Amino acid sequence: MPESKNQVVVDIRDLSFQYPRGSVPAIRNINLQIKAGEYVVITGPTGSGKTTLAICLNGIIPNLVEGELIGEVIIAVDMNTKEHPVHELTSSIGMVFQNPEDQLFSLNVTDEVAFGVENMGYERQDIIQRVDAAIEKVGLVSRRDYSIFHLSGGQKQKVAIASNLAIAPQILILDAPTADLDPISSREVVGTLLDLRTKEPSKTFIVVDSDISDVISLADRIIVMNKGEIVLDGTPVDLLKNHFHELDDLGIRMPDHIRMMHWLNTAFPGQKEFFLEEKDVRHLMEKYTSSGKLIFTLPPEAVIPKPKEDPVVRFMNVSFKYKNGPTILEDVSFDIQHGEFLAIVGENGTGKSTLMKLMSGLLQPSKGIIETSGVDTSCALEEVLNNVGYLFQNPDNQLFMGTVAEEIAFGPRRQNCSEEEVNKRVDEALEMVGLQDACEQHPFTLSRGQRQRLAAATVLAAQPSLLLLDEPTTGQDQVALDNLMELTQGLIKNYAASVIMVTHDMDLVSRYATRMIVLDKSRILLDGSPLEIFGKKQDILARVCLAPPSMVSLTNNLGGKNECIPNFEWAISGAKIHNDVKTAV
Amino acid sequence: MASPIEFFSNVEKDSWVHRMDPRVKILMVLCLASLPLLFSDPLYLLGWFVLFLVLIMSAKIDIKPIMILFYGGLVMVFVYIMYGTFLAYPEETLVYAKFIWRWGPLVATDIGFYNGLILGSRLLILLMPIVLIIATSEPSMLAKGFMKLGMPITISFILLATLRFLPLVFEVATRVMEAQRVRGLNHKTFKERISNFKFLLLPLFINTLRQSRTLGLAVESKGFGARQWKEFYRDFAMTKTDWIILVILLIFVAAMLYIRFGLNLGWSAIYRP
Amino acid sequence: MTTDTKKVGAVEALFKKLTAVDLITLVVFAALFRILFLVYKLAEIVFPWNHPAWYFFCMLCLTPAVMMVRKPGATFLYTVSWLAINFFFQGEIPLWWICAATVPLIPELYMYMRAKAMGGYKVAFGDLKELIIFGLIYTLLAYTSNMLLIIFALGNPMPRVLFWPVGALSLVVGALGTWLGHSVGKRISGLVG
Repeated sequence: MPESKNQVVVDIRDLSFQYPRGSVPAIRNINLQIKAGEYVVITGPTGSGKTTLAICLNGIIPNLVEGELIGEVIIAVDMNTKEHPVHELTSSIGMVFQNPEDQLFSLNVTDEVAFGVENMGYERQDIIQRVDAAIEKVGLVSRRDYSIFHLSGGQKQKVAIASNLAIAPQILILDAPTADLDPISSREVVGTLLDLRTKEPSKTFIVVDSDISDVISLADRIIVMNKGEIVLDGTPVDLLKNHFHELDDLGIRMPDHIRMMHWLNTAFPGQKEFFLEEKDVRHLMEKYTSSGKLIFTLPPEAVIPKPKEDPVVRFMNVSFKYKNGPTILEDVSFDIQHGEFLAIVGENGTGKSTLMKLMSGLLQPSKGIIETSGVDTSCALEEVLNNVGYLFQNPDNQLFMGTVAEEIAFGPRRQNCSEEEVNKRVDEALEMVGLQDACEQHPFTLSRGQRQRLAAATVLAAQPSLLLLDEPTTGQDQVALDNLMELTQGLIKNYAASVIMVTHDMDLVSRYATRMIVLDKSRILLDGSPLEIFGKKQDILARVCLAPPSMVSLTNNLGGKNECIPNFEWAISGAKIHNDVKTAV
Repeated sequence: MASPIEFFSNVEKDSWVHRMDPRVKILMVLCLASLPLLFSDPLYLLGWFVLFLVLIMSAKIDIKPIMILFYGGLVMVFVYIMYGTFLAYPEETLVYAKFIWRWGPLVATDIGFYNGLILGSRLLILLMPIVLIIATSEPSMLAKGFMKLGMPITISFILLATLRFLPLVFEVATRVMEAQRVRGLNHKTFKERISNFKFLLLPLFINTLRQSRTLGLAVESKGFGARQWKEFYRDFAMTKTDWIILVILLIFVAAMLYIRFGLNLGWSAIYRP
Repeated sequence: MTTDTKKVGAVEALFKKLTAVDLITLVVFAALFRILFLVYKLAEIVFPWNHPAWYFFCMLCLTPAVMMVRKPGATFLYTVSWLAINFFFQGEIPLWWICAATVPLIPELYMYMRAKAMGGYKVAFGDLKELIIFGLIYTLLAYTSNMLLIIFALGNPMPRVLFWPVGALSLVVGALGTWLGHSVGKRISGLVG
C-alpha cells in the first residue's frame, strides 16, 4: 500500500554487524532513516560495508548469514528484521543483486518473473495480473517466452527487476545493478529504472554502488560510507559540489562530466552553479570556449610514436570457429609491438575473449598462424605460456596455492628461476600490491579486492612479455583500478612488456590504451589510436553500438575546432584559462 | 556435456506427448520404464523397442541433441556382452550351448553372448521412455507435475535447481582449469589430472559455492521460505485426452502383467551362474 | 493481496528447516560430484572396477556438503540431487530412484542419534570419526543397493565373486573420500559463509 511521502519506511537504529571471520565490524553505529518515495544511492569504496548494510535491510542478516548483529532495522513502519523471517519481509522489501547470472533461478522469463509471487502463495488470477504488469513495466513483453540463456545481461537484469516488481514491495534495493553489465545493457537497465521512477513515484529505491555514474541523475540523496560508517549524507549537488575531493579520495567512480564540472568550478571561481547533466556541462563549456576564457588543446603525449622493433605478437590470416559452431574470427591479421597497450573492444559475441585465448595459446586457430615472441603457438605452447601473463575477470579462478607467498612464487619457479630470484620477485610483487602482511595467509581468506591484487601480483612476478587483461574493471572501485593500471604501466616501462586489454570501459581505453582494435562480425573493423578512432570514427562506432567515452561528447567540436579530447587528464592538462578576458558567460 | 539449450531443443515442438498433462506423462514413463524388466524374451523385448520407437517418433523428437543419453548405455551393453560371453557357466547349462570355446579360465559360449546381448539391450530399451519425458517436458512443468502428485516442494525445487546448476558448475570447472593451464598446471592427460587434482579441488569448490550462494540468497529474498507453491502462472489441468491416455495406460499395464504372470509368457531362460 | 497460506505436510515441515541457500549448497555439491566423476572416472568398459571411483567422489562431495549445511535431511536431499542430475543428463531408470532414495535413511538416522548424544548437528558433523562411520554406512548401502539392482533387477552377468573385492575397495575409497572431504569441508566452511 503506498505510504504518504513523509513516512519513514526504513528506520535503522544503532546498527552494527560483524562477520564471524571479521576482526572488525563490517558496519558500525549506523543510524539512518529513509522516507517513502525517496531514491537513495549508498556509495563508498570496496569494503566500506554498503552491501552488508543492504542485506541487513531485507533480513538476510541476521536470518541467513551468521554474525553478531547489534541494533535494529525496522522496515515498512513496523517490521523488525530480527523478528521476521526473510519471506515475511519479501512483500515489503525486495532486492536485485549485482550479477544477473547469480539471481535468476528459473529457465524461462515468465517463470522467473512469476517465481516470487508463486512462492508467496497468491491466487492464480492475482499471479497472472502481477506478472503481466511487471513484464510490461520493464519492457520485456516480446521476450516473455524466451529462455534466460538467450537474453543479454541487461535483459536478465530487467527480468530480475520484474520478478521483484511482481511481488510489489514498497522498497526495492538494487545492489550495483549495472556493475557486471556492458554499456548497452547498463543503459537499458538505467532506462528501466528511470521509467519506474516515473511510473511508481511512491516506491522507495535504494541503489548500492561504488560507481555512481549511471545513477547520479536519478538520486534524491547520496549516502557515502567508509570503513563501515556513514561519512556523508546529502543531495547529489551538495555532495559533488562541496565534497568532491572526499568522494574522489574514497575511490568512488564519477563520470567525467562531473569531474569536468568540478574542474570548471575550481578554474572559474565565479561559477556558482553545479550541473549534474552532461548536456548542461557541455553547454557551460561551450560558453567558456566561445567567450575565449577557456581553450582546450591536445597535449604532446596524445601523439604516439611509431614502433621500430619486431612485433611481440603476430596474427597472420587467423580464423577460428568452435567445432560445429559459428565462425568467431575470420581472416584476422595484425601485429602487437613491444610496449604497446592495446585495447580490444566490441559488442558481446564479437570474439574479444577468443582473441585473448588464441594469443595465450589456450585455443588454437582453425586457420592461420599466431606467433608470440617469435614462437608459433601451435608448436611450443609451454614456451608461449612462459611469456604470457593472463589476468582473468574473476581472480579466484587462478588462485590455487596454500599461501599468498607460494602463489606469487609459482610463476618464477615454473620459469626455473633461482630461489634467490624467486624470493626477490615475491618480495617485490608483495610490495607492489601492498600484501606484505598477508604473505602467509591462504589466498581465499583475503577480501575480494586483495585477491584481485594477488592475482595481479602472480602475473607480474612472472615478468611476462605479454600481459592479457580480461575485463579488469569488473567489481573494482576507482582506487583499485588505478592501482592495477599503474602496475601495468610499470611493467611496460620497466620490461617493455605489451599489454592487451579486453574491456567495455571506453574511459579506461582513452586513459591508458595507446592503440585500440574494434571487432565486429568476426573481423577487425577499426584499428588505430583511441584519439583517432574516438575523434574521427564516431559514426562507425555508433553503427556497431559502441559509445565513445563521455569526454568525446563533451569536447567534440568545442570552440569550433574539428577535434575532440577523449581523455579527461589530457583535457585539463592541455587547457588554457583566460580569466582576464572580460566577456560575460 | 550438453548445454541446456541443445538439450531441451525438442521441448518447444508440438505433439500429443508434448501436450500431455505432466502427471499423466510421469505415470506413463514410470510404468513404461519398469514393465520391460519383467520380460527377457527377445521377441517381447523387440516389441517394447518398436513401441518406444513409435512413441518417440510420434513425439517428433530429434534424437541428435540427446544422443549423449545413449552413449553410456551403449558402453554398458558392450560390458554386458563381454561378461555374458565369457562368463563361466555351470557345466549343466553348457549343454544348451551350440558353441563353446575355452582358453584357460575363459569360456566363451553362444548362449553367454546371447544372454549378454538380451540383457544389455533391455537396459538400452529402459532408457527410451526416459527420453520421451525429458525431451518433451519443460522442467518447470515436470516439477509441478511431480508436486501435484504429492512430491514435497523442496524436492521439486531440487529438481529445478539441478538443471540450473549443473551447467554452471561445469562452466566454473572449465574456467578454473583454463586459468590453471595458463599458469602452467595442466589437466589433460590422466597422469596430469591425478597429480594436479589437489590444485583443482579447493578453487573449484570455493568458486562454485560463492557464486551459487548468492542465488540462494536471491531465491530466499523472493519468499521461497514460505514454501507456498500452490498456484502457478503457467498451470495445467487434465483434459479429456489425458483421461483417455490414462485409461489406456492402466489397461496396458494390466494386460502386460496378465501376459507375464497370468499366461507365463515373455520370459525366456536367462542362464545365470 | 490475496494469499491463503496452507499448512505444510510433515515431510515438508522437516525440509522447511533447510533454506534455499542450504538446498542450493547440496545441489552444487551433487553437481560437483558428477562433474568430478565425469572428469576423473575410468571408462565404463572396466565395470565394475570403475565403481569405487564413484563412491570416492560421492563421499568427497557429500562430506563437506553436510558439514556446511549441518541439518537433518541434508544427506537425503544430496542423494535426490545426484539422482536428479542422473535423470536429466544421463537417463536413469525409475526403479533405481526407489533403491537410491532409501540409501541415505540409515546414515540420516545414525547422525540424528549422534547429534542427540553429542549436543547438536554442528558437533556431530564436525567430528571426523562420526563422519567416517557415516561415510562407511552410506557407501555400504549405496554399493549394496547398486549391485542388487544391477545384478538382480537388470541381470548384469558380471561374476558374482567380484562383488566382494569391489565392495571392499569401495568401502576403503569411500572412507578415503570422506576423510578428504572432511579436510576440504573444514577449509571451505570458513571461506564461504
